[in-house]
Amino acid sequence: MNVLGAAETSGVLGIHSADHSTMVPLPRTRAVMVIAATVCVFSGSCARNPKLIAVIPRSCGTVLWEPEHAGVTHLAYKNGLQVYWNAPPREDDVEGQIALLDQVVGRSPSGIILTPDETLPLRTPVRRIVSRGLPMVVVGTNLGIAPTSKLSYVLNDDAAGGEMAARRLGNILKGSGSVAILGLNPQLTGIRDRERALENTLGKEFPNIHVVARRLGYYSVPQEQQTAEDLLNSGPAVDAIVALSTSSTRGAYYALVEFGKARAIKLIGFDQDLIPPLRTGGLDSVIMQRTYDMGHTAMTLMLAQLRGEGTPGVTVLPPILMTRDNLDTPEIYRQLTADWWKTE
Amino acid sequence: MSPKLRRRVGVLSIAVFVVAVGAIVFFVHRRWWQAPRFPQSGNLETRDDWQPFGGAWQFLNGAMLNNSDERGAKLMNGNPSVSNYMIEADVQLLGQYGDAGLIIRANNEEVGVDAYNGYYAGLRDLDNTLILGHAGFGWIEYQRNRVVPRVVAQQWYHIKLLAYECNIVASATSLTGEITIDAVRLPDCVKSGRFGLKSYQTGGLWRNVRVRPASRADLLAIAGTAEIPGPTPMTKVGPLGDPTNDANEQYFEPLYLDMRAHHVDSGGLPISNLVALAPDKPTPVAIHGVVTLTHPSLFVQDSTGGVEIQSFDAKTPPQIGDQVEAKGVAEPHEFSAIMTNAEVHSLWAHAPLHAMTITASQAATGAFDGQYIELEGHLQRKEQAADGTVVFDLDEDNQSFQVVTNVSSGVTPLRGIKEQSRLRLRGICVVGSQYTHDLTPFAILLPSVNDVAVLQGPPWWNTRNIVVAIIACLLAVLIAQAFQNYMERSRFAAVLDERHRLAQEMHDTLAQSFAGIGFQLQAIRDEVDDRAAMHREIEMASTLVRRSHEEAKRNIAALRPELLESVGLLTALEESARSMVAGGNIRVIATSSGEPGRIPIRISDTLFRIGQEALANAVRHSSPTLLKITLTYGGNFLELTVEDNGKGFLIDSQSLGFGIRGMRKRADNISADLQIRSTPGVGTSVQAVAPVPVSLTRLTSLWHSLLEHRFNGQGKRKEADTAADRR
Repeated sequence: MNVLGAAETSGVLGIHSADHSTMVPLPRTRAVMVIAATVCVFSGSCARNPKLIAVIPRSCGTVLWEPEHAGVTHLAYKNGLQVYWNAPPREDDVEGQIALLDQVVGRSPSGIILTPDETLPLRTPVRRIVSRGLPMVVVGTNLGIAPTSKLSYVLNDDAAGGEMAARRLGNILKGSGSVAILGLNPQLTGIRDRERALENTLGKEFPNIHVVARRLGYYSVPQEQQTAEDLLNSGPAVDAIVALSTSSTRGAYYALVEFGKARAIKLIGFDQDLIPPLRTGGLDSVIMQRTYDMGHTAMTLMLAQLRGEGTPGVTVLPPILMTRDNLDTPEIYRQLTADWWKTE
Repeated sequence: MSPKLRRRVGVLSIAVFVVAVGAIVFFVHRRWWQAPRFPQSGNLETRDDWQPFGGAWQFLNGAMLNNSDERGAKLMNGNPSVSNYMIEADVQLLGQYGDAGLIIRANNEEVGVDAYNGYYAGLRDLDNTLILGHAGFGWIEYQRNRVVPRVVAQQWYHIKLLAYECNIVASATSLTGEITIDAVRLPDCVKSGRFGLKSYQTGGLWRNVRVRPASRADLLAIAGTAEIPGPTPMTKVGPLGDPTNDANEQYFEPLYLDMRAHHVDSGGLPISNLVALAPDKPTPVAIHGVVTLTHPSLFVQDSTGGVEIQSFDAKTPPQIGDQVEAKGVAEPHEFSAIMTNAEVHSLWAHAPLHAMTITASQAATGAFDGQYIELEGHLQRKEQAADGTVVFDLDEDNQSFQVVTNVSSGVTPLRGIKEQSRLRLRGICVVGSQYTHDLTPFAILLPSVNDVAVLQGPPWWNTRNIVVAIIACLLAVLIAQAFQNYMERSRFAAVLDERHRLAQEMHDTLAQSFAGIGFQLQAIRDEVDDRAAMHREIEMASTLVRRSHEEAKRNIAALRPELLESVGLLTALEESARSMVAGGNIRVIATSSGEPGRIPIRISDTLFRIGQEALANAVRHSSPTLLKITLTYGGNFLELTVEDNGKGFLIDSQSLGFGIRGMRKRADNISADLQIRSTPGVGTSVQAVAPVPVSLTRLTSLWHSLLEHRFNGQGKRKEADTAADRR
């Protein structure tokens, strides 16, 4: 059954069919209907097209965000919706993402699911779209705009991720050691939340683990690698590194391999991207976002908004600690599912 | 408005609407009617109508180059209605960890990783495979077969990609002759679309690009078998590195190889320091930075500045966005340094810089020499250089500068840029004489067509448009003048005609009557002694005067078209007949049949006069007891019949009196057919059939009915005014 049945319309003029069965059209009405039908026939627009949901992730074709595509489409196809999925080729292209958002709005979608590249630059575009009454679900980043009946958030529990990383550190360092944090990014509130929760938890639960270095992060892996190499070259000695993003995780891993310290210095990464090194031990663990579930939840909220039902303003999904031990479990596989073309 | 008329209005409106909509739809979707076309023979990479979607494309050294590692950069061409065809090309990956190949049957292309709807086959070096799949704003990989010996960057492979019905087949032939084949038969497929070149996360080169129609024989020739498997979409993302298979090795091997190749010398100099080196003494230096341009020269930039590397060696050709280490000899110049004899070593790909936004005045200081900048300007002139590149001359902030596009002039976006447009440009600012020719303070070297944006088109009031507007105005004035002259001439001719007609009428009626009156009065004078005779003559003169007065009144009435319009032809004739037989025993019957339409006043007036003459003749000569007037409105004719049951007469040449000849002449003036039938003792019938233009009849009646409906009140008022006037 189409979940949008309540809003479903029929006929070329988009009139609810039920209330009009006994009406005799006036000559003028009949003429208008004939004209409308003629327009339909000539323009090919008679066919009833399914509603379009535009989904703009941070990036397409990546291990991290492609499961969101699958999560969205599995539910969308089941409910007879079309999905437009596209993003700028570069994840740090905020300008491109805003331009794409504008372009998508011009296509009159029924709703938009957006995973913002950054927090501040997307505020105004999103606020404008919401003010026009277009349903939106924002994934991954809290923009600071209060949720409404037309704006919902699906967030990764970044604070829980920070706590998870701290406890993993406490476990593998046995409660004592020195740690470097790479990939700090004040432009993303999620990264900031991870870092604060990590340090707070370390301070409370593992007072003998000290953060001895903090480095700002970049979107480019080479810059991250250079940062990590500088740290290993001339920074304080560390027992473990916590990398707060995909690029910093990859950069740190490459630097550790380069310096031959991939096993000696434990690396805890965030956001699934590098997975094979988990098997070899070069990467201790990854705090993974449930991007498949985020996509699925975002589409669930979108459907509810389209039906006019109330939705929770903010839905927070806890991350998963992915290690060599649970790598092949169904839970992990679900979050890495990228077969978006299948129906659920 | 009557129901019949409403229906007519409705049908006419719908017909007009349908034609208009049909015309619009035809023009909007006219490509539906375009027959599938294949490009002319020859290497298509030399064509000038490619359309880029991302990337940095240029035709260079006989091949199409994408000098960018953008994920999913596409260059498209062809007709979207083409269905069964094959594209083939020599393809080379420029860097590692990506793929490059060909697109077939593509539609709805956009900038984005998999942002099109079509099929792609490409060589991927990460797992040494030829991949084949469908991009539909998301990627579905149908097949990946291992390439033997392996996929190596900077080595040519020949790729063929064929679409026949719902069979999609690809082959890749390596330099050593090994062939790898991917083939899939789809239950449902994209039926037609354009072709293109695409690379993912690496640059690429394409040459000998050819497209031709494909047949089943071509399909079998490439696939090698008619047993083409169905699609088995592969999960693209998942836990890789399973120790039970060789995916682990596949994944790590290139990773580690690349890591070893990316050893960074930490002793690099900031680029801005190069200009401070000892002058006239080349100094060996090492720098780190990001490639901002590769042609016509290599430019590298770090956070402190940019440098041009005029000669270099590199194992892997550097691409825009690559982070590189360069070791060479630096020579400080006035505003920046130049490096030569450098060894350029790519550290990492995909780290593009953002352009710094400055003004033309700032650029003119030379402080940004060699740096990637963004600025705006007005395009003054567009020229094509001998090598096919396009040079723009721009003005801004009282500064002039040139932009060397470094791309083929034929790349679609450049062709549409018009002079006097306001542009935003991103490129490398250079101040060297070889670029500025000492004519402008600086020049901009443009990396790709994507670095030009038209902010505002040229103003409408340019010289060409003003000249065109003036010519158009003059033509309009001339046409208006000619039309006015024509109208004046027509009006004047109408006035002359009317004067002529009035003269004829006066001659036929009043002049003769007055002649009679004169004659009678002369007789009175001659017979003044005979009182009885005098009374008789005076009585006759009075009769003549009265008759002439009535004649004059009738003529005046006939000369007033609105009178005939207001009462109608039949009514006017009936009234005329009744006035003629007033006081007698002659019965008058007036009938009409058919749908009354709008009749031109010239026709109704002529028929009225013919009818009047026929009635008068009947009353004067036939002694009838019945006069019958019949008006028949046909589709394209109007028929008037005047019949009497009088004594009739034998029709011969002598019987044609002046009255009948007058009727014939009137009938001829409106191309009417006049028939007079008479039988002695039975009666006489005068029949005039006048042709009426159909379109005129229907359209004018429709128009007047609409007017009547719309301005009913005004019409009624006009009628009342006419009646009052008549009185």
